[in-house]
Amino acid sequence: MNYDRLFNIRISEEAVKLSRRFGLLPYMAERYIMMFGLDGVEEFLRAVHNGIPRSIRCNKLVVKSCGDLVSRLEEKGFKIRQSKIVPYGYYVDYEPVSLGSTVEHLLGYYFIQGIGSMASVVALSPQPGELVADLASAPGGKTTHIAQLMNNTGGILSIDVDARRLAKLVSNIERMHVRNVIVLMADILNVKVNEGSFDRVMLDAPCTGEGLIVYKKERFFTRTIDDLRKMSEYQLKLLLKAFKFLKPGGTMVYATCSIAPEENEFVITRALDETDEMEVIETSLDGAKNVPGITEFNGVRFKDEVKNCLRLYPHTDSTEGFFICLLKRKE
Amino acid sequence: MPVEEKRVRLTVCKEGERALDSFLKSIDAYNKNCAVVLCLFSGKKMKVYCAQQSLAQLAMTLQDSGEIIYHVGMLAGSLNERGGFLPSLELGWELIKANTISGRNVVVLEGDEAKEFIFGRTVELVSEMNWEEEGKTVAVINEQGEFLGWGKIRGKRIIPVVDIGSYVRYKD
Repeated sequence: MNYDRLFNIRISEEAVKLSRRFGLLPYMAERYIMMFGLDGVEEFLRAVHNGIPRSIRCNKLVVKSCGDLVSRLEEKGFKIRQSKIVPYGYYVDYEPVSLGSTVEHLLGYYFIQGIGSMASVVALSPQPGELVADLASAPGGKTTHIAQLMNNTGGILSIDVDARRLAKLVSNIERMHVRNVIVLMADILNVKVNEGSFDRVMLDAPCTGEGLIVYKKERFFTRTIDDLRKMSEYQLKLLLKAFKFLKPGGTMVYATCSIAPEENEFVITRALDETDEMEVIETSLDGAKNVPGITEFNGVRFKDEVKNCLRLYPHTDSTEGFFICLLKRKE
Repeated sequence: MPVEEKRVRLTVCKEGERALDSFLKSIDAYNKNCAVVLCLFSGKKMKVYCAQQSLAQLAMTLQDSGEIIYHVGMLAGSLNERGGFLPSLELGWELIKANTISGRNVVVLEGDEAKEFIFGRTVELVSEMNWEEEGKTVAVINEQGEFLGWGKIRGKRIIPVVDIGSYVRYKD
């Protein structure tokens, strides 16, 4: 199937107007019109411009009561609000000092992490005693969250290729008191791990970061359509490799901090073309709006199964833009 | 004994186990969560890790297949070129949490003293403490009993060996 059309964006007058009003590249405005319609696009862009507060994940490996942690931070002047999607995730509406400089942070009582990122681990739902792989894992938000849900039992293989990022990953593993992790310095595409040996796999794939525009407005004008094309090719390779790590019957999450269908539903569609062992499971989260995956974009029809994936947006779920898709290796 | 120069390699090792045991003995402590002691050699440095049996086995299997192991289980400490053992923050956290270190080797810092310590600064104590051995390594905790790091006593001063502030002082 020829997918070239996906990357050929015709820019409308409405998109040009939106791009001027909200300060973004016209091709992005056009794509957002395709995603949300003319009615929804302004709501999305306004939410992006308003931004969302930073958030923290309470580390239940060492914190007996997240309520006590909240009280302790509130005594210091922080304003804290619980997430509806992740019960031990909290928005920090006001920071009297930097969240990274408190003694509670140094003690590993919390990790500064987006709610969308946390939601991807909740969707993976790792269980105590399992063997889990976290690929492209630095700086460790998901590895340490997986360890939290596994209560430091079983094993986690955490892989990243970049030595400097690995140092940060290990520092976070130690700070968060995680004990069940092996860290490998390796390129996922070349790693020699036994295929079919993992109960669960997390692939938070490298991406353009289009979902992070709520935090980093410069992403409105620093990415091109060609970046999306190149990234989606790489993501497909990673996904197909990561999927091989799974045992038959095992589940994986393919996630990105991007809302681009080119990096998400398109990648899943192409992966489904490549293997008949892959099944897309319905991804839903308590407390979320559960916006389904996009099945058609810019005149290209994706596989129907991608509607089972989950999208998070600032205007629907008060999170960074995130894509989460639960995949199963058939028995 | 000086650590010999070796390439990055993980092994089950007696040398690390002895160094860890010796350090724990020196501070009247024991660690009950160390099923297997592993050593990771990199150049002239050696890191000592504690791991559960199954995790250690998986790490060794991965290494045998040609992978480079960067970390496994819990870092207990590291051995310098002269064979000196530098305990990790994780080891201190474990010992304090499990209450398996003698109170004689624990110092409590209050308020600003604790803040100074986690900034990596030497802390001047209000009163001189009666230490049997000058220069001995001690676990430093705050008033809530939370582990802040390892220090060395010099008269009325506590000199940080490693403190939890180092987690964020790390530079890319």
